[in-house]
Amino acid sequence: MAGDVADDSALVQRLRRRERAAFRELYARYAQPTFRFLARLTGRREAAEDLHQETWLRVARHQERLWPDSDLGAWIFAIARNTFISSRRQAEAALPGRQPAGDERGDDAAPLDPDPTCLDLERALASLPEAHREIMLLVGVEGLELARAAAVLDLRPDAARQRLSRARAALAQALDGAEQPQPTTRRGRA
Amino acid sequence: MSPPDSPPEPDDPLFQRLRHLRRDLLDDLTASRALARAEAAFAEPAPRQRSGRDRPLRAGLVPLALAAWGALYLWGAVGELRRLFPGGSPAAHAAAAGGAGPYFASAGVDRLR
Repeated sequence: MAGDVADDSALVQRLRRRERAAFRELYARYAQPTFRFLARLTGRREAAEDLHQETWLRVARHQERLWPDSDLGAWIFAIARNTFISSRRQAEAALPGRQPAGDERGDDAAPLDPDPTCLDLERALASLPEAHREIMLLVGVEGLELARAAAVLDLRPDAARQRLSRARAALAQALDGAEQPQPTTRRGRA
Repeated sequence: MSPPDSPPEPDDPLFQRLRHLRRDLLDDLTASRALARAEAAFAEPAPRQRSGRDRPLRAGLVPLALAAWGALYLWGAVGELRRLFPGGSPAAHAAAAGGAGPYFASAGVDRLR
């Protein structure tokens, strides 16, 4: 999973002392999880790369906000999510009527994960509403405990539990739909 | 079947499938570039925070300036009164002007004599 709270507490102490090696360690621990999260939120690699860079700039600039008992994983995922939300708001403000970044998935877009065995799961995840997708990414893919995911999403634990359960049901339904043959669609395309 | 809105079990097959998506997607070049920029930002000195000690000093500057302005105003007013009444107090001049009061005294009646 993406960082244990106990492992992170020593790292927080070193980050508060502004040790450069600690920052590298933090990056090594969380760069891939934050990129995966952003890539599956946006659905586009290029957008995710920009957001990933912006996320880490924010992480670097806001070290003083860390407390000795801060949950590093939840903090970094929350920054990544906020970066995604602000970029989407900026895009919407700049071009009203344009589809938000998270919904710009097209069939012609290159898959994020080239593994063909995961394609149906990736597609089912991408089809979920954003609120469901983000909790499934945090808990299901990245393995955050529900309480930590609730902190990232700024939800009460019971609301997070409810949302996770609904997201799981929606994902299962999307997978069932993808696995069942759809003769009408295929005939239409043929 | 689990009741609705109950948290998924850890051995939930769907969650086990999702765990397989936890593989590296970020390539080395992009990762290094992002790290270099973030590390440079991390190495920059943090923006100077206003310390608790600065606040009373800043808060005391405005009353101090007001007090200085008040003292200057008073000093100017006293100087002007002395210029108008070089010989004594306005009350003494009023008495000298036959009880005409400070208005005549301040109008420089004694100078016209």
